[in-house]
Amino acid sequence: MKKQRFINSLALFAITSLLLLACGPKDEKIAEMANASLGAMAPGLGIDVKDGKLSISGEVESDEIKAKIEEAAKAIKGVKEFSSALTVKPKGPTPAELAAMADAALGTTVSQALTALNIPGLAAAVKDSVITLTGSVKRAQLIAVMKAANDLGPKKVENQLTIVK
Amino acid sequence: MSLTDKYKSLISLANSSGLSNLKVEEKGAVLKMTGTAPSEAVKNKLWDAYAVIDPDMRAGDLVLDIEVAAPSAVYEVKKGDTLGKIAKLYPGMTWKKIYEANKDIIKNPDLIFPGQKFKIP
Repeated sequence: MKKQRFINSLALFAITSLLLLACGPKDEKIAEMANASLGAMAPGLGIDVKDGKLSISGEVESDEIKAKIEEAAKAIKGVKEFSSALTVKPKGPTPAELAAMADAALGTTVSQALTALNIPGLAAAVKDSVITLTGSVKRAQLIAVMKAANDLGPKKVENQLTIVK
Repeated sequence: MSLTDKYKSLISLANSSGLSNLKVEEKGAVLKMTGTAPSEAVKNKLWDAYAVIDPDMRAGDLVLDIEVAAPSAVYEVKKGDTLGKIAKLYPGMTWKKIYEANKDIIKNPDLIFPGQKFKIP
């Protein structure tokens, strides 16, 4: 009886190992190829292979890259099934938008600084981090106005102020 | 004439006024000077030097972005104090540094008055 049980379990073990072996190396090979080819297109992808089913996940830079990766994944030899959970990174502001945001912020602070000086008609415009000052000031006020603009660290201060006595 | 030549007197004044993190760089036909002045008086002096070079400040070729260092302490003068005595209360301090930081209120470093409040840089 004991011997029989031992043989049974041995047989069971042999069958399971065979089954595992049957798909193990193949999955490994697919994963290897996927890592090599897809990983080159976008680093940090999640690649999972089970019984010939390839699943990929992760975040990529653009729709084009996503399509390319999915195309390449399907073409990998041995892939029976394929599923993709790739997402496209939300686009951040473009450099031009960032510059406009910086200008708007600088415009607000320079306006506040000028308002604090209490000089009627004094105004400032900001473009590409360049502050342009307009209005008219007394000569004695010029330094204070220029200081207010320079203290904000602009790229340049364009002084179009009319200087009156 | 290069901008560093044009603003030579301002740059050398900045170099000798004890500014920290002083940086002078020319970028796109604009000379940018940044740094931290030990006192408002020093900053004002720099602006006066700028006004001497370009009275209308219209050239648009200089950005003078100077911060003023926040004093680490304020000391109120008592009877019998001298700048030297006050300096001894703070490690590493010299009477000269206190004088430089408070030039706007100290006319003569030998004459200070009780009740005056000095910034200790």
